[in-house]
Amino acid sequence: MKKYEEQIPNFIKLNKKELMALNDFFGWSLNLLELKEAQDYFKKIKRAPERGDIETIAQTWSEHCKHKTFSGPVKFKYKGKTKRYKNLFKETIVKATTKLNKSWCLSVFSDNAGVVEFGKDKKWGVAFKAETHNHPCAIEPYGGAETGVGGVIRDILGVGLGAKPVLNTDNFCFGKLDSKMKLPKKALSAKRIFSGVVDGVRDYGNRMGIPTASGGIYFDDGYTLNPLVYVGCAGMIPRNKIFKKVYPKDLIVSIGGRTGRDGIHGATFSSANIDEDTTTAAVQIGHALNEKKVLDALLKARDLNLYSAVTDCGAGGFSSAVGELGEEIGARVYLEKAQLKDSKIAPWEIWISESQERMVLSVPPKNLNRLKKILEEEDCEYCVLGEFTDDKKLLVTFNNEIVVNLDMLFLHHQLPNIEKPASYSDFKVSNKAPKKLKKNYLSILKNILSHVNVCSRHSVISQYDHEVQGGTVIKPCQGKYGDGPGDAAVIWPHAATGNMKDFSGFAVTHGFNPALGKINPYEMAMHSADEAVRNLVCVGANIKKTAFMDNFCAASPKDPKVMGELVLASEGCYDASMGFGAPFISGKDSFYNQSKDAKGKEYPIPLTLLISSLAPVEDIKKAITMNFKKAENPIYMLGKAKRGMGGSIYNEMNESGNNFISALNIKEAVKLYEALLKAINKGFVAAAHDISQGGFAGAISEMAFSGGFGADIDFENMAKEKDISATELLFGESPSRIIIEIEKKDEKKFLKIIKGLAIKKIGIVKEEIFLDIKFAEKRLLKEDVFILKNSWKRDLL
Amino acid sequence: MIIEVWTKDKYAKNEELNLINKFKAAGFNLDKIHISRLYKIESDFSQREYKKISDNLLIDKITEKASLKSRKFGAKKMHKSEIWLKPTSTDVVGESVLKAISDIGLRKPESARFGHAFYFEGINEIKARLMIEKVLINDIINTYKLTKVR
Repeated sequence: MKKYEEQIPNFIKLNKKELMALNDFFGWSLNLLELKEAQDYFKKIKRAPERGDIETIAQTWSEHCKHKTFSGPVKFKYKGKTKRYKNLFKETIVKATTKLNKSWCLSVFSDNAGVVEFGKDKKWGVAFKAETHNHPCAIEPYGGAETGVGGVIRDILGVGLGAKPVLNTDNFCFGKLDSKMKLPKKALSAKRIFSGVVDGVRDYGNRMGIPTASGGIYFDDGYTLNPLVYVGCAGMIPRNKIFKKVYPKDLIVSIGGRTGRDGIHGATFSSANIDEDTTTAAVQIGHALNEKKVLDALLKARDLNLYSAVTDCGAGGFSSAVGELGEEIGARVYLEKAQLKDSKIAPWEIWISESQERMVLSVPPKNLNRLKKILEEEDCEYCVLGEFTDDKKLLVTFNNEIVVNLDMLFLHHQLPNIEKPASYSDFKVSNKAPKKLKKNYLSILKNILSHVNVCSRHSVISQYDHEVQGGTVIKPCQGKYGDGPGDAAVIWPHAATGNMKDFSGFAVTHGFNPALGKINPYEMAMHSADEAVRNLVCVGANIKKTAFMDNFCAASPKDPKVMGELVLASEGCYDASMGFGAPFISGKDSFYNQSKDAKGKEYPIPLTLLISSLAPVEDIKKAITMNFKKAENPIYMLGKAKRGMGGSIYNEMNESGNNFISALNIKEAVKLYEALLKAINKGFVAAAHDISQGGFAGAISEMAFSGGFGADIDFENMAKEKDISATELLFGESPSRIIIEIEKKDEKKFLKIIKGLAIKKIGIVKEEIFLDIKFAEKRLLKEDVFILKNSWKRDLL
Repeated sequence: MIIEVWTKDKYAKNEELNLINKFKAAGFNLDKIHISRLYKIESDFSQREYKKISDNLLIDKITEKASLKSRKFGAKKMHKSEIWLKPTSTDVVGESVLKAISDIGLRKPESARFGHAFYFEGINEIKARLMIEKVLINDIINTYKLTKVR
């Protein structure tokens, strides 16, 4: 065979400096150790690499594909002690899942998404996955968000033999919209990124016919240059379609979009910081209609058993998809057979291009004609790229010219990894009583309700179609006026299962608070997990079957402090998972979220952990919402109010002098949540809403104005720590607390369920539309709930 | 051939106001802007065939108008900005139009691309460029040109 001309003839002779220069020139984002490993391989096989060989190695070994920071060795120094991890991810997140060993976890950490059991007949699984698309959204928000959504939908289509998407989720972190920070040249303003990202998520999700019904938006100056865009998807998969296997002689069939020069180096881009010279080719625009054709054709073919395996063509393109499917056996690819957008594209570019809306299937030759018929019926383009082999080699050619010729064993199992140093010094914490302010509590409450991290998200949520497929039982906006902030979405996936008699559903929500992480990364993870479980129980989900997803975003892992925070948060995830008995089933990590500011100084994001959670709702008819329902119903608070204002919205707006974060007591939390679930299932609970950002006062205001009722509250009887101040009771954000409205007629029966627990009656729902809060005979605040709503109801977009 | 499509004046207010507000949020005050959609179709179609494409495919006759020539505004002086996706950017609308043209019984064109035109009233060229670059385009995926029109 004739060799393709883009060979790198002197690669095996280059010294360290020359290797790094070459790496920078081509944008591979490999480190020196990895370049040396590749060099040694080519020395051993006595040939110079093709451009395609190194490009394949670079994308396979990229942060995006191998998660080498999180799954690598770490040396952690903390409080004078040193702890070593061989694989941080496996020794924290995966370890908890393995130890918990839940029988309802059907597929974890081995496929494109995690899968848990679903339905009364146990014939179905729910697949759940989140992705980040941070770097692309920073430079082209609309296209970045669209392709992020498209990518995570393909993860769901590519799990097992394919799941049908029934829910999209979206969680964003942006810089403050009124920031006066001078931006570097070419950086987009936070407002423009926000608007573009929302447009992209809306257009792709709506056009795909998938409800976008769960998420959150968080603003902090730390995200001004590096926004975070977490997009998630849940889908239904028949239990007998959860596993896949690739066989030698199966055909490699690509279906969906054509391949072009867009999206070159997207995977390796994830291993680099964004700077002014960031390549434009790493950005793509999505085409939802093409993906919808893929979805329809794929699920038809799945049900006819026409293919033996499938995966999405995401980061790394064909290189990643074919490389992963053929990892254990080998693959032979003829690139001239690819359907192209652009005839000027080089063969190695065809191989690694991340053009959107493509899936790769492993198809037994006898099924090809039947598959083609379905694809043609759905107007879905396809090509047969080659076949899987049994020689454990990856051989890729273009018109007989070699593009890639690598051993699968080297490619997938010889990634060298350096031990990363990690260290952490505890943040200075004060737990003195919060300073008394000149402002009264009511004006503080109004300021908190209008804070960007508390106020209404209606202007964003209402752009998304959260009703399509007809299964969104508990919606993101709730209450009498359809704009109250829900805690979790509940989905009844009858459109996918076709079963209208089984009222099983599932709830999805999230826990998240980077402000806590700035003070204590371990507690941030614990509190986020607690919030994720708390939100689930608020709608009546069975929290004994909670599944978590860890979604980490961090700055450069070359900084030991960043790694130290990651270690502590991972340990927090482990403890939370074990404590709640909630395994992690999938996750995502994204590093290098830092850029240079206008003065050329590094501007990293704070360590950010989104814990997404999913749990079954045994009977969707019993699911509840957060708004008050009936005057004279008693109001209880579940959990004990604890001291500390650390990480609170109050502290962001006022100098309290107290930044203490009260520790989470998981054992107590589990008892409280299980009692609440029992009461919800018996129909005693009319409404439940978790206390998080904005504290008690924020949560009770939301329940009141979303229901169109007032409430009389007295803190006197509330379960609370000794010496706690009124400020902490109103605006503190201590964990494991939920406000609940009980049906008056069921109060006695409810009291039997909660006997001995920290669940106390604190007030009553009132017909008069005033929120009246007292403590020890003293009125703290009183206001018309619709005036409070006016403070809360801001149009962010 | 570029087919220009715009919303009739009596229906265009919301679309224009929305954009004016976006400019305001970015610190630019503007009283009036006109917005058009542009379809650049490369083919050897006759004028009659292009008219068929614009009338049968690209416009809603109740709310929109189309022209095979650039839109006219009488004696008013203004700046016109044409914004297009770069050739390397996926053009979803362009791709759909390309396919739809053959679906209405015409030959498949060589290419179809989608863009926008914005007509700024009472704004000088320097300010118009600033506004375009800050609000309307992202030079990662877009190209634009600015011309004086009457």
